[in-house]
Amino acid sequence: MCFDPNAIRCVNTCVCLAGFADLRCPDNVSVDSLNTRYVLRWDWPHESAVNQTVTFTVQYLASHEKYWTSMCVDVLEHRCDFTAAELHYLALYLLRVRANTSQRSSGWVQIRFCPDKHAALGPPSSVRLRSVKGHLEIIITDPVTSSNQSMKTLLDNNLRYLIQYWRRSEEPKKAKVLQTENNVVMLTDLDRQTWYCVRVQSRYDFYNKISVFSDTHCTRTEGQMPYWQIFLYFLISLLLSFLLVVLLSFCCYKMFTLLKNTFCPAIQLPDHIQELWLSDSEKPQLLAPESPESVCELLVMVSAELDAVAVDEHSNTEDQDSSTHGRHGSGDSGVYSTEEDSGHRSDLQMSSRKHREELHDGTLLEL
Amino acid sequence: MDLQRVALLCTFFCFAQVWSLPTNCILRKDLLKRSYTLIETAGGLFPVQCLKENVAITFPQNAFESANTDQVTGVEKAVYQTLENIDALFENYNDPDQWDAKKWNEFRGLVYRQIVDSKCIMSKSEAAQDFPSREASLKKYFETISSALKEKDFRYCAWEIVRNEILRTLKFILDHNSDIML
Repeated sequence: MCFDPNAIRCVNTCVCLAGFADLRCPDNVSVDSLNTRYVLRWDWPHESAVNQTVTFTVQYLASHEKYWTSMCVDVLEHRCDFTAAELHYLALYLLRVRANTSQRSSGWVQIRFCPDKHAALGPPSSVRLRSVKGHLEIIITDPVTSSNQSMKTLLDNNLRYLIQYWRRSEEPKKAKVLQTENNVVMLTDLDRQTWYCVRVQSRYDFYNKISVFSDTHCTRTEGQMPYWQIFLYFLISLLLSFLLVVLLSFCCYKMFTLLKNTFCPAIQLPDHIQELWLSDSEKPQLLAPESPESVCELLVMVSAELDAVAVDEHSNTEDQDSSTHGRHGSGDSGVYSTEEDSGHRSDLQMSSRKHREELHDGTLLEL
Repeated sequence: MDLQRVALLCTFFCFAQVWSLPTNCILRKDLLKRSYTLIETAGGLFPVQCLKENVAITFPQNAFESANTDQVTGVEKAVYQTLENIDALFENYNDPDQWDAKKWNEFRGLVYRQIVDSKCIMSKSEAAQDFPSREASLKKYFETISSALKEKDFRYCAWEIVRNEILRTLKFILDHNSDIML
């Protein structure tokens, strides 16, 4: 029995003892693992040499047990998942695999497997970054087993974290490094108002197990604003409010002048028109109110010869009348006559004068 | 023909052994502590009904005591020997079903793993003249336990006595010999 320490131990790496008639043994038998997920993998490149379907059987043995336990029986793929076997993390196991056809089988290829030594470690299951008053708080969640427990329960507090942090503007190569066992870490000694990036790796130092890095998370540190920035913001807001006030007062002024011009105009109407405005009548009155006596009077047009003398004779006596009746007698007074026709004119004037007197009775009396 | 081939291969591999890990030839305190916790929690406290069946077994304190630093290797070898003896106690018998099977399985596996890991201690070149006396004390102790187990016919209380003794031994090593372990 290979577990007997006194026996010659031939198996640490893979050994396959096969006879000539048997199938070839699987090659490259190894365990692909992450935390508590274990997958046994192997190669068997001789498919073409065999006409039948080749299946594989995988078994495992705990150290103190006497009988092998089968894990994968007659599987076609070149892998076997041991996660369901719930192997004890600290214990030592033997895993073995062989190829089968319906008639033949290969020898067993056996390897030792101790998860504590051989299983790869995963990165932290989550990394949260928070900016706290100029410092950065990193909250790390442990890598978990296949049953969602923390790996710390299996590694017995040997699990440590390596935190890398750098300024986002710089390269990750210039990163600072911090090792811790805690799940909550506060990064101090950082620049304010700067973007920092962080990533975390798990480590199990006893067997030099190092995980891949977690995702990179970046955030900006808070901090007090520099004084010049505060002053600049103050100046800008001052300027803006000043411009706003100027604009408002300008608008108000414009509004005021508009209203003033609308309701209290500078240019006034003439007095006589204003009197009309203030009088009771509604319509603008440019003429005197209608009187029974008609404004319009008939104009008698006589010939110029007859009126010539009459005009000379009456020019002096009619001056007063013509001046008062300027409107009405304008046609007659403007008619001049020559000396030749003075006789006619006088007759005409006599007749026209009669007319005038007749016609002007009303008006003369009125005046 | 096959036998010759096997012998040849075995000889070759025995000489060409490749350990995939760094050979830390040192006992691990955390593994021993874990072993203690497992066997402690696999069952309960020592049952009252077994008190009358309890035998007085002298604990080999001298096997684990060291007067000076020269005796460190001797103590290391004694601890290794203890682990081997513990494993041997249960080797030929079925697992007692009075305890938590999962924890008991893990305990057995862990003890064996420690034996495999620490085997190199026995091949340490440092002289350990004190070791033969330690080995003798341990051998006597475990033989007493084994015979008590057989006398009591592997009953419930017999196993509890064995478990109690193992707990006592591991506790003593953890309390007094932590300095030689990693």
